[in-house]
Amino acid sequence: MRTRIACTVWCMVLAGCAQNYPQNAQEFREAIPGAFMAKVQTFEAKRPLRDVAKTFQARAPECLNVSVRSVSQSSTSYQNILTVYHATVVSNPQKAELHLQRDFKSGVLVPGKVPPGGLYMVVADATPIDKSRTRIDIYGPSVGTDTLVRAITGWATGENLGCPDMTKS
Amino acid sequence: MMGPRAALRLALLLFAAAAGCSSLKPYPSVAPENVVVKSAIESGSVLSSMRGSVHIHELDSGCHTSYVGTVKLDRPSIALGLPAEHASYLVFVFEGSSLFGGTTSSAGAGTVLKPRPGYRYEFAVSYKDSIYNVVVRESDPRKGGSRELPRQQLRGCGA
Repeated sequence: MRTRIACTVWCMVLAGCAQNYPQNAQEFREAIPGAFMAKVQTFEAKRPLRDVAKTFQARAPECLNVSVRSVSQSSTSYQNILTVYHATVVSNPQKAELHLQRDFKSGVLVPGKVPPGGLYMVVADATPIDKSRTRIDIYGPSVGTDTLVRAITGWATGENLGCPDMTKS
Repeated sequence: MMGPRAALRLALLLFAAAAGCSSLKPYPSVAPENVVVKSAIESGSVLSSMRGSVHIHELDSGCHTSYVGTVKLDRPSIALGLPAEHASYLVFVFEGSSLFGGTTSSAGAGTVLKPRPGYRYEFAVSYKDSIYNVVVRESDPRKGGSRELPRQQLRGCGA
């Protein structure tokens, strides 16, 4: 719950607390370098791009197209948030992209124009270094997405094909 | 790929499980025991615990689910029987709770399985450091050898 709130706050900070949320993956990439509590993580996977793309295509829809309902209650408050995550993988021989969007269906008011599919949360780009190595760039918040980034790293390297527990994201 | 309705359906099942619904009941014994679930579940923190379970639903020809029962994954290896030539929907749920109370969460994965007569199925289920995996393999004891089956979502159950 704490990381969910941190991520939500971060999304709003990224948008300058106003209405200018990134409306597509490219706008999200461009917003990250100058954003508060955001970073680009880069590493090298010792696998060809086509293998990385294949894993993204297999794992992202299965693991990331999920709904999470969070309920928290205290003597003075009650929160019931339904979040639907939406993953998109786009690939061609030169690049593979994984986009993850977060759509708050209830319990959160988002002040501004939300792109179709929800607010952009993470974008991961895979580009070839050579025939057997691939560069991965992951754009996203610097807090609250550790599990998700570890999962994407596992898919890219082929070392762990497990799904992230999105209740921890 | 899981569609929004299927995702919502899975979320509702998980939410019902997390809410500790009293309607949960033990999965009945079915012969033959053609499925083994091997699980390794760790919370990764001394301040929280993680439990695993699998909710089993029957599927009719229209892909409608009917809850049959739940098996707690409280042992490393558990055998159970699923009716051959009938589709079942298995929802693996990982439920975490804080030792100090107040916080619970659940995540999970669903898959459709229609066992073939005479075949055996092994689920390898893991949860470690907030990453989970469910892999199912089918083997034919008469011929030997096994193959991994892709997880099949509810949406494709009529195919």
